[in-house]
Amino acid sequence: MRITYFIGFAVATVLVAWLTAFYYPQPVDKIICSSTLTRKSAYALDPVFTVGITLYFSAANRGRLSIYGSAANKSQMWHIQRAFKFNYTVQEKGTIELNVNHVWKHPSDNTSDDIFIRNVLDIGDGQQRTIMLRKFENLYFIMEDPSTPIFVCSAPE
Amino acid sequence: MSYLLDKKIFFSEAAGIIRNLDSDEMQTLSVTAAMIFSLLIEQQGYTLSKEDIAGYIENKFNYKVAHNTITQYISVVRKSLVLMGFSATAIVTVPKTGFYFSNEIVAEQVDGMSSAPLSQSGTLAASGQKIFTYRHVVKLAGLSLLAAMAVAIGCFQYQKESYSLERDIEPVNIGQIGKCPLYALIKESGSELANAYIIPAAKVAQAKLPCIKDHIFFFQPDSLVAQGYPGNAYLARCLLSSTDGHQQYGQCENVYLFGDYHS
Repeated sequence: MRITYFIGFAVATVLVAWLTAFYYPQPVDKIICSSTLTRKSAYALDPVFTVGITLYFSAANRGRLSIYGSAANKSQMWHIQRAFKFNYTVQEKGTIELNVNHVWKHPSDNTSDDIFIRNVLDIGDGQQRTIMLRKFENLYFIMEDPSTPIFVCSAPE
Repeated sequence: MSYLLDKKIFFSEAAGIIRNLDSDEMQTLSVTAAMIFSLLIEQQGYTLSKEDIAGYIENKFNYKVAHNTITQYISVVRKSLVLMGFSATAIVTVPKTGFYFSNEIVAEQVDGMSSAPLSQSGTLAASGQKIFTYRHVVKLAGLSLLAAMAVAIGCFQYQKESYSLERDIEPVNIGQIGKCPLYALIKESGSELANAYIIPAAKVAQAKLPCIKDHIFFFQPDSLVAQGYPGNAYLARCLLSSTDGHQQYGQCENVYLFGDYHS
């Protein structure tokens, strides 16, 4: 009988703890950082794109990636001004899954999604991406994997 | 009458219960079985015939018991004792004579200690041995609540930690480009730094991000570049400022170029 009570209390303890700590997702601190990114792909005919990036993680598992910039060659000029809204989940510390649920484009944005993905960032509407976020002082390294950085941005302190 | 047997089993004739004080398990006896067991304990060591037992019950309680059912009652008591973890030989059968309660058992009389007062006091006055009562339940509930809170706080801290967005990284200083320190995010083991990292980094810097005063470089080639082949190289340049001894970075510019950096 006594052992039954103990087992009952142990189970109750674990349940209470689990419900208290895990039932409601806890918000994380918000992050905002910015930088510029210049990319030249292996495709020789593609121009060099230089864009400004602002990355924002809110505490409510939502975020936004704003990108603006331009590129040109002798015959054409591309303008980029778009924002990706996403929901995110923390898979484990430093690994985040992004689900892009909305892309806003300024009317002047004349860059096709194919060119954007090939030359700037491999991200698009409805796309799911897993990134790694590494911090050093007030810098955030956004990484494809542990050895492949995508860009680094600085957060105001 | 109530008895404590070998400081392990509590028997109350009035309540008709046999209780194991260690496990708090309990067996209920019929009134007649409880009477017979109580008589055997009272007459410990003396052999009582079926007639003796039947006569005792009839005289004392004015209740007739058939002789042939006494063996069944004793069997029931034995089974109850065994279920409570007690010896079946506590009641010894003397063939064609009767039964006696073994002298090897220490039987202590604890008069007035029925099941109810035991539950209230939580202590057997005669033995000082504690049994499990509602007070213990309350204490255990309190302790469990405290334990739950402690575990919850621990889990919350763990969750807070695991829900952190970022992990720390410690870039490695591998040299300089001009007067700007050059850091690598991850250094390939066994690679020659100059060929694998510094030369490609210097070429990217010369082409796109030259060293500027108070700036710092972060470099990371892909594995092809690190091994001397054309590939992608990543270079970032950030302004490093120091206020009140605290370092702060800003104005980061990233370059991600495909090229042959070893030709």
